Amino acid sequence: MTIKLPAVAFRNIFRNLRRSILSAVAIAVSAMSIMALLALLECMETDMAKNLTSFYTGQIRIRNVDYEKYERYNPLHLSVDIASVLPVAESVDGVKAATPRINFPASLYLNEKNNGVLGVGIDFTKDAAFIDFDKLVTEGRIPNAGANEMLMGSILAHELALGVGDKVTMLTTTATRGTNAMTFKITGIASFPVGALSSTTVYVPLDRAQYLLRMEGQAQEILLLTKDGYKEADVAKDVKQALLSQLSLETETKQWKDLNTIYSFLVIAKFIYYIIGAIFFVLGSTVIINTTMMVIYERMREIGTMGALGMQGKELTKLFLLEGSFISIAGSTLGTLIGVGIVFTLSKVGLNFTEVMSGVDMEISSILYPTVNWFTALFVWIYAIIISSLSTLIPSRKASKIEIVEALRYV
Amino acid sequence: MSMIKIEKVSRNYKTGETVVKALKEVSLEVDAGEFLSIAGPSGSGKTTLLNLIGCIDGIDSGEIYINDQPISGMDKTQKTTFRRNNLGFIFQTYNLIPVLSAYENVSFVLSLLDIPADEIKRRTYEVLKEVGLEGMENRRPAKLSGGQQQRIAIARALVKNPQIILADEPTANLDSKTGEEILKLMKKMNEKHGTTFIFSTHDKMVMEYASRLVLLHDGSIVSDERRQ
Repeated sequence: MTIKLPAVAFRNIFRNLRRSILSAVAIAVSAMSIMALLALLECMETDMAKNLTSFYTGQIRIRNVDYEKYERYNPLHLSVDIASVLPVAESVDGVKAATPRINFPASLYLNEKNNGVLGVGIDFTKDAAFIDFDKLVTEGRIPNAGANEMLMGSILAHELALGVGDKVTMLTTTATRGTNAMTFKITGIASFPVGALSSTTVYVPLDRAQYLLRMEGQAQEILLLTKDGYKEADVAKDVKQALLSQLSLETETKQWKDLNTIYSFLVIAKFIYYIIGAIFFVLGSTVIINTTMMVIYERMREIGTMGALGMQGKELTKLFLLEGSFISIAGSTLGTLIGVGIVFTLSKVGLNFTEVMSGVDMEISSILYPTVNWFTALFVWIYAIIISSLSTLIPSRKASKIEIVEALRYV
Repeated sequence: MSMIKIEKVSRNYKTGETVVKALKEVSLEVDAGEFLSIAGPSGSGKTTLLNLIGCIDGIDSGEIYINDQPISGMDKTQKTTFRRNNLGFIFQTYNLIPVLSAYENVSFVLSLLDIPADEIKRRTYEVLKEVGLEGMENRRPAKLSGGQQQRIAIARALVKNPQIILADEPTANLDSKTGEEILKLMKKMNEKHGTTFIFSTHDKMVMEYASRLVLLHDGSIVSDERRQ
């Protein structure tokens, strides 16, 4: 059997096994960290997208065209008419579900004290496509339409010492700038994935909210979900156009990504993270660069011999590059597998951010369950191999430039 | 016609401000099949001359022709290709690749050439048998004695049937008995294959084996003696 360069390179790894292992471990640590952190970032992105589209903006949000301009004044009078807008929106190709909502600031009057909350008037039947209340309700039941019933966030209920069956009076400013109050019976307690929802929000039937706010037949916003395979931006454009052509109604109709700057930052952060990842790998690769340089100095006479025997400079470079690449492959494989193991474990036990996220106004769940994405794993594995192998190329090229006569004299 | 023609070759080395004249306008002609010893004390220019003939060092002035081909005009790649195809090397410290077995050290040289695998195998086994290492093909250098390692080095130099084998003090690291055995082996290969051997030495016993003895002193040839 004829010996080939890769076989020589492979055997060379074992000449100083401890050093080779050290180099591989440095790459493995980099690959493992990037794998775990990318999975976490991906999980945060997915989680945030799910929370935003479920609890906040849907995939497309329709509002009165002037609402944004006066948003800071809570202009509930700048509403959309449900009876005319909803059927048109639902009829647009690509729209899967639609639901009207009213978000309003309110106070719960308890023990001679007002407690600020965020009220949300929703149609529990239509909203089922957006929020799976059955899974979120930990005690009691969902309020019935037409009844003065309320679903309260679990943290809020705990803080106010309220439970199922208790009655509470809600005060608010109406759409006509008057004040109104209504007493609701708490029929259910819900634990939402986003801490802010559990600690500040109460859900009431849409018709009761309309009555309380003097908004009969109106909604502050209509949220839409799109069918699979449809681009949200395109559907939003079609809906806006349909409302304009069929109802002569100018609206603010936007896809969710345009409405949530934090999500956009997260997407940018992901891109930045890839760059940071590359730097991380380069740092990890400094060990292998150092190792290759040491190996070259140690094997100087061997390089001279191989050159004298007729090995071309590029073959010498290839020999050391292969050696570095084998170590890189071993390190990357080990690191990626450990990273996958960590992510897999976290997907079962979860990563609890409840304390860290308390007081942080971000639509990210308190407990995250990152999942193993095999595409990310493959990407990190290849990414680590390429960067660490390219790092080896720098010292490996030195081998081809060494003067044979000098190398043979080297002691 | 001479196989190697050295014409007024000079080589200087700079050590800081000092210029050492390793070779001073040396001229020499070597015929095919010669068993030539370049002798002289340390620093006389033996290794420098071998390195220049072996295309692993550059000439400052003069010219070396091998088979009428001037070597000073060759670039690094051409010199490497030339060495790969035409020259064999034997080193004082054997310079074997430690991770390769005896068989692999020898066959590795052939794998650099465009030779079919079965031909590599046949030639490697044949040459290892010739140098007396039959049965030790799978041993790595660390498991072999100095004499056995130098035999591998000789086999490695011979296996590609080069026109010229250059040996820099091939017996200097061996005891006198083993050194003599190595010289006998080299002589045998020289006679059997007609390969030109040029080796440097400062050992009188080694000089005795040479069919031609060139004596260098301070970078100049001081005698050139042919023997029967």
